[in-house]
Amino acid sequence: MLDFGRVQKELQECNRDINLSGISVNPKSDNLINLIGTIPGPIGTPYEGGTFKIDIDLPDAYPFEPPKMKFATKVWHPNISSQSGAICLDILKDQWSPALTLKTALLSIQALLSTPEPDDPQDAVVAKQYLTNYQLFASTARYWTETYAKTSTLGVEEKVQRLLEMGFPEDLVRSTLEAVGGDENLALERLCSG
Amino acid sequence: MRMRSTDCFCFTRSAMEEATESEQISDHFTCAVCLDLLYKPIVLVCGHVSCFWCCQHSMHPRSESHCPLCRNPYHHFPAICHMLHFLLKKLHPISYNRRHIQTLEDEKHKLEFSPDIDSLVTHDGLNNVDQSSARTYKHISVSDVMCSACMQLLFRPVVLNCGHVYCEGCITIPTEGMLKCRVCECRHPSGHPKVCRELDQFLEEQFSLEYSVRRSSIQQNQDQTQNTSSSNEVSTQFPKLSFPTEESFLQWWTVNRSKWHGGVGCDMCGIFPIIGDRYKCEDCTEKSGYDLCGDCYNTGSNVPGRFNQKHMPTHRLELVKPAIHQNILHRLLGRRPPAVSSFASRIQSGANTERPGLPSLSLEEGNVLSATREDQSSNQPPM
Repeated sequence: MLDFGRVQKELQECNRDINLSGISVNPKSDNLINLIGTIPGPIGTPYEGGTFKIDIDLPDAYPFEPPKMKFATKVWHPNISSQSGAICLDILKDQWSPALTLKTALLSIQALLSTPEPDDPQDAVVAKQYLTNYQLFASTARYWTETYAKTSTLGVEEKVQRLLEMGFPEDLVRSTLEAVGGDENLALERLCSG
Repeated sequence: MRMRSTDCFCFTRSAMEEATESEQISDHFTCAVCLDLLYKPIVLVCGHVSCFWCCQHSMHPRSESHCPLCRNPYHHFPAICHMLHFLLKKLHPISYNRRHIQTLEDEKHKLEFSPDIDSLVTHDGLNNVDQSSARTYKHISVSDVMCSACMQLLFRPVVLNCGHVYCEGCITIPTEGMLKCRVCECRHPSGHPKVCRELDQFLEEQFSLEYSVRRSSIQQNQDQTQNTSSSNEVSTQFPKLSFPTEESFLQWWTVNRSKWHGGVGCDMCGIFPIIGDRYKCEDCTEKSGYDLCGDCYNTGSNVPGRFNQKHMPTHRLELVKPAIHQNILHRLLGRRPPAVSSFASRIQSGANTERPGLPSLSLEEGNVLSATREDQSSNQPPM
């Protein structure tokens, strides 16, 4: 059985200094097993200004087993899968210790955003780009942050509006935009060809 | 004792209970694992404290365990520190009682129990003092936090594997053999214990005057003795146990499986898992069972059990044969027939000690078996 007492304490503790850390953890529904964490993108990185949501599932043996965490927000980073959001971080695997908390784990993820480890990649495509063409990597990461991690959905809505003005049906515009990861040009290409 | 890491515990804590609790628990005595007041505290050799169950659940059932806070590797599950237990009980009577009720409820649920310290101590007559004044304790006195050796206020306290507390300066590691507790005569197999910082800081805050007196007198003593000798250099001369690490487990296991008792710990010294001979009590009926490692079997156990077992000296202890099939061994070593017989017989005697992480089968026999324990002959079980 999960130690709910500890989880409750953790949530209180974490949300107490939310203004300081910007990190929050909240229950997804009415249980304490599925949680959602949010971290601000670190300043001075392509992720600056974004708010990243992280899906947290607590195993029964938590805190003696690590929490299962993955990005719910799409993010372009060598150690995070651009497809599934899976995170490659040692403390979420074999280096977990029961003295770590959800907050310290989220802080570590935030630190990972600042200091990618391309030599131990989760997403090989991103890692290769990071190593061979950093400029392109940074602009893609920034673009993904703008598109997916901004709290206001204004960016997406503007694109939808522009494509609607070209005469495409709204349903199709939205689904296509989502399928190509928010890239307006790619979406237009696909809409024209399909 | 048998442990399973998958069993986890829960605290059915109601919000009401928490709200009525007015005691402020200092950070010194908050368990880093359950984030609650320490309950039945144990102190690891690195000086970090956690609750009995928090430590037990943090331990690795197959290979060496690591301190949740500093990742220092350790092999022995320490006994509960009675002094800290009674100190916390006095400091936070309401919260400690809540923790007692919660934990007991949980223990009943999974049928595994932690030692009942309070009833144990009644036999010594100590509990009478405690009960008569339990309600009136607002302060604690120096007598609650005394060194077991010098009988003064603890200065830079260290806790031995048996749970007894000493000043750092009051213990000396013998050049030969193992450190033994003066109170209970239990061996301390885990190397030089580090100062329990949380307790130390608490003492300094609580007894600032007495503490500074202790500091100056100890410093004076040190200045005097420093000129004559510097015997503090004695390095840890404990028999090096071959213990699997998580990384090298498979490799280690291939060589040492015949003496490896995964998930089973010794109820006396607390080694977990037991490597080498294992003696199981035939008469203890508790779920956790009662086991001793070869060393403790030979020294004779006077400890009732880590999980509140009702083990008696009259109980029968039987050697548990290594669960290895001769034919599996042959298959494993099938390609090297000349080595089989001697290798098999040696590892079945179960008392040799190798370094962990040896490349298993490609090794020359001589290397594998080069390091044998000094006291091997005396450790042979009476068959």
